[in-house]
Amino acid sequence: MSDLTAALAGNPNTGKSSLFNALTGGAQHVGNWPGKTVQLRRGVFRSEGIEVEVVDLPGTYSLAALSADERMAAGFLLDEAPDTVITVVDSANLERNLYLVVQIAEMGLRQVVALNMADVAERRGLVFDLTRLEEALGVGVVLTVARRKKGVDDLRRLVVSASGEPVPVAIDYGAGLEAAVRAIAESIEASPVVSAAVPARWAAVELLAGHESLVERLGSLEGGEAVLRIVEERRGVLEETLGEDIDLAVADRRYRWIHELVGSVVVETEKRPRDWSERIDRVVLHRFFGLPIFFFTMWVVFKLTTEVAAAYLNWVDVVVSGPLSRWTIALLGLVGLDGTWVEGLLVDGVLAGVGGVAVFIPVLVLLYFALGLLEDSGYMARAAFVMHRAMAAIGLPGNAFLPMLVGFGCTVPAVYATRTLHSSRDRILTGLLVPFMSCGARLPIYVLMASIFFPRSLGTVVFSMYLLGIAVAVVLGAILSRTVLRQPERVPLVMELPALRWPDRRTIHRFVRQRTLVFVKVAGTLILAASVVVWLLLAIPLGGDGGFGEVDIEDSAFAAGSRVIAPAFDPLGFGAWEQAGSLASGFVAKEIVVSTLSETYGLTTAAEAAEDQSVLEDLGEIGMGFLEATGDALRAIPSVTGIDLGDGGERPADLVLAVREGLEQSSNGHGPLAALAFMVFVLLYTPCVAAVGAIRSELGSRWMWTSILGQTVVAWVGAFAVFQGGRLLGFG
Amino acid sequence: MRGERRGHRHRRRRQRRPRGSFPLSAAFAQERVRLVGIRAGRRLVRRLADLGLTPGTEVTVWRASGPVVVVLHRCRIVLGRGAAHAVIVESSEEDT
Repeated sequence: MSDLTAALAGNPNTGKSSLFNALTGGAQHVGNWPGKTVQLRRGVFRSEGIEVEVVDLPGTYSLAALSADERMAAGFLLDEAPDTVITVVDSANLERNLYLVVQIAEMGLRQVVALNMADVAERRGLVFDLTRLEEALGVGVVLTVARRKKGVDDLRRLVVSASGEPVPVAIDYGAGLEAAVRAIAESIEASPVVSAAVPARWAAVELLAGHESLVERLGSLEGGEAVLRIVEERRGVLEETLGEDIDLAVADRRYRWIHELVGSVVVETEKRPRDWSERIDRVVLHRFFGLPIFFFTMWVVFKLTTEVAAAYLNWVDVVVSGPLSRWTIALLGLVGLDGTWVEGLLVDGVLAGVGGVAVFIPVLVLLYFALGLLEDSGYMARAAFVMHRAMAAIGLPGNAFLPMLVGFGCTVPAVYATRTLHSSRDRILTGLLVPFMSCGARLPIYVLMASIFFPRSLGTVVFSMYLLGIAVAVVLGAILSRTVLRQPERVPLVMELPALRWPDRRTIHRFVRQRTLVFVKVAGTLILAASVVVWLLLAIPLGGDGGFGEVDIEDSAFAAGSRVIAPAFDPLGFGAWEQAGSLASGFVAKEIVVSTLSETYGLTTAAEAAEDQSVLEDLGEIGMGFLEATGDALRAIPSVTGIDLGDGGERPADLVLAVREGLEQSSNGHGPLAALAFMVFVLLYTPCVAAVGAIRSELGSRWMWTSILGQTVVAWVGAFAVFQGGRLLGFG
Repeated sequence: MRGERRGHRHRRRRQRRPRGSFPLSAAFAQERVRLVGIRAGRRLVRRLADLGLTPGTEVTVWRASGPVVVVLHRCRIVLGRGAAHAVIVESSEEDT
C-alpha cells in the first residue's frame, strides 16, 4: 500500500504519457478500476522516503465532458478522492489547458500543475510568473519537459511535500448565476450525505450547467432528490433571464477568468518564430495532396508489417524448426528420451508454439515502431481528419482506417493497432471488424481451392474474397454502430489538431518494448497452450493399434473430435471429418489448414532430412540467416508491388486430387459450390488463436468471446448462404 | 502577388454572402471571425465550449474548404462540415 495516491489529469496531447513514464520510471501496470471496464495505468514513485501511487486518467478537456472515457476522469476524482491531482498542462497553450485546472481547483482538490513542454514555450518567447499563478489557483506549479525528464524531481517533491487543506477557487459567475449557485450549495450542505459525496460549490455550478453524470450521481444519494428539485427550479428561472444556455454562460465566465489570469502571468517577450508545423500541415492536409499522402503513408506501414517483416519471420521460423529443434532432440538424447512421445511434445507441441509466438514479434516490433512514429509526430490526428468522411459511414473515426489496412497483412498487429483510437467504443468496434479483413495467411487456402475448382478465374475468385470481407465488415459495422455499439448521439467531428513535432526516440522505444511484451505475455500463453492442446489431440489414440504419440491421425482424438463437429458443416457442403478437422486446426493458425488437409488425407509430407550439424555450425547459420533476413528486409522496403497471388501451379497432384474428391463427395457432386462455401467460411471465421489472444489483451475476455461466437455464426451463415443459395439458383 | 490574388477572391465571395452573421462553413480562409452562437444539441455545444469555443470568442479561419480549421490561441481546431454549419459567426474584420 502506498503512502499517498496521485491522479494524473490533463488535456490530450500535453505529453501526459511521457510525464507518467518520467515520473514512475518503468514500474507500472495496467489494471482495471474496480467495477469499471476501462483500464487505468498505475505506477509508483518515491520521493523523500514517501511512496506515491500515480493513476493515469484518460486525457480530457473538461470534467463535464460527455464521452465515456472522459467522464471517467471526473468519476475517479469524486469516488477515489486522490490525495493530490497532478494536472499536466501544455505551457504554450495555457488559456485552453487552464480550463481543466480551474475546474479541479474549484473542486477543492489538492493540485500540482506541471507546466509541461516548457522548452516549446521558451522558444516561443513565453515567460511565466509562477508565483502569481500558484497564488491565483491555490496550487503548486512546476515547469517540466517530460521527454527530457526536466523538472520531474521538483514535481515529485512538490507532490509529497505540500500540506494543509486546499482552498477551493471561487470564480465570480455574475449576479444572476451566483444567487442560484449559492442556493444550490446551501441545499447540498443541508444534506450530510450529499455534502460528504461532492464539494458543494463546485457541484452547484456543475449541476446548474447540466452536468449529466453528476445529476445521475445525486439521484442515487439520500437527500439528492431535494437538491435536484432546487436545481430544476433555478435552471427554469435562469434560462429565461440569462438569454443564453447556462452551460455556455458558465464556460464563458470560466474562460474570462482564465483570460484575465493568463494576461497577468504570461509575458510574451519576443516575436514567435515561424510555425513549421503549420507549413507541413499546408501540405499534408492539402485539398488534393492530403489523400495521396495519407494513402502512401498507410501503404508504407502495410509494407513494413508484411514484406519487410516477412524476411525476419522466415528467419525465426528456420531457427525454431532447425537449430532449436535439433538442439532439443540432442539434449533429449543425452537423457535417453529421444524418439519418444516426450520429443514429440517438446518439439511439435511446445517448440512449435514458441515458434508461433516468436514469428509475430518482428511483425509487432515493426508495427509499433510505425505506430509510434505516426502517433508521436502527431500525424495520426491528420489521418483522422483526412479519412473522416469515408469512415463515418461505418460509424468509425478516420484513424480506424489504419488497423483495417494492417488487417490485410495480419489480424494480430491490426488488433493491436486499434490502440491509437481514443474511445473504447471505437476500439471495440474496430477490433470486432478487423478480423474480416482477409489476412495473408488465408490467401494460400483461397489459392489452393480456387486453383482446383476455378483454375480459369483464379484471380477473380481470390479477389472477390477480399471484397466480400470488406463488404461484411461494412454491413456489420453499420449494424453494430446502430445497435449494440451505438454512439449516444452522433457528434459532428470536432477535434484539436496537435502541433506536429519530431518523434522522440525514447518514447517510441518504450512504446515498442512495452507493447511487444504485452503480446508475449497475454497472447503468447494462449498460442502456446493451443499448440500443446492440438499436439495432445493428435497424440492420444482412440482405437487403432498405435500407442500414445505414435497414433495414425485417423485414429487420434483429433479425428474423433473432428467427426463430432463435422455434421455441423454438412449443410455447408463440407461435412467430412477431414475438412472439419482442417477448419478446427485453422482456429490455431490459418497457415496449417492446408497442411492439416494433406495430413488428414493421409498424404505424408516429406520428413525433414535430419542434418548432422555441430552447435557452432548452427550458430553460424542463425547469425548468417539474420544478416540475410536484414538484407531481404532492406530490399523489401522500396518494393511497392501488389498483393502476390503466389503460383497456382506448383501443388502436389495427390493433394489436389484428394481435395477435389473429398469436396465432391461431401457435397454430393457440388464441388465448386462447396469449395466456394469453404473459402467463405475460412474468410469469415476466427482468424487464429493469436488474433483471439490479441483481442483478449486489448478488449478483454467478454469481447473475445463475442468475437469468436459472432464470427463463427457469421461464417456459418455466409457459407450456408453460398452453398444452399447456389444450389437453389442451380449453380454448380 | 499571392496576397493580391487571395484578396481578390475574398472580395468576390464576400459580395455573395449576406451581411451580419453567417455559419462558420461560409467563412473565408484567413478571415477573422467572432462566434455569436451555436445552433446544435448540448453535446456539440459542450464539446466546443470545452475546447474554448464559446460565443464571443474570436478565431482565425485557417482552412475554409472541407472540414473547417480555426486557430484559437495558437491551437488549431478541426470542425467537420456538420459542426461548421452549426457554428454561427460574424466577421470581426468589418467593424474595424
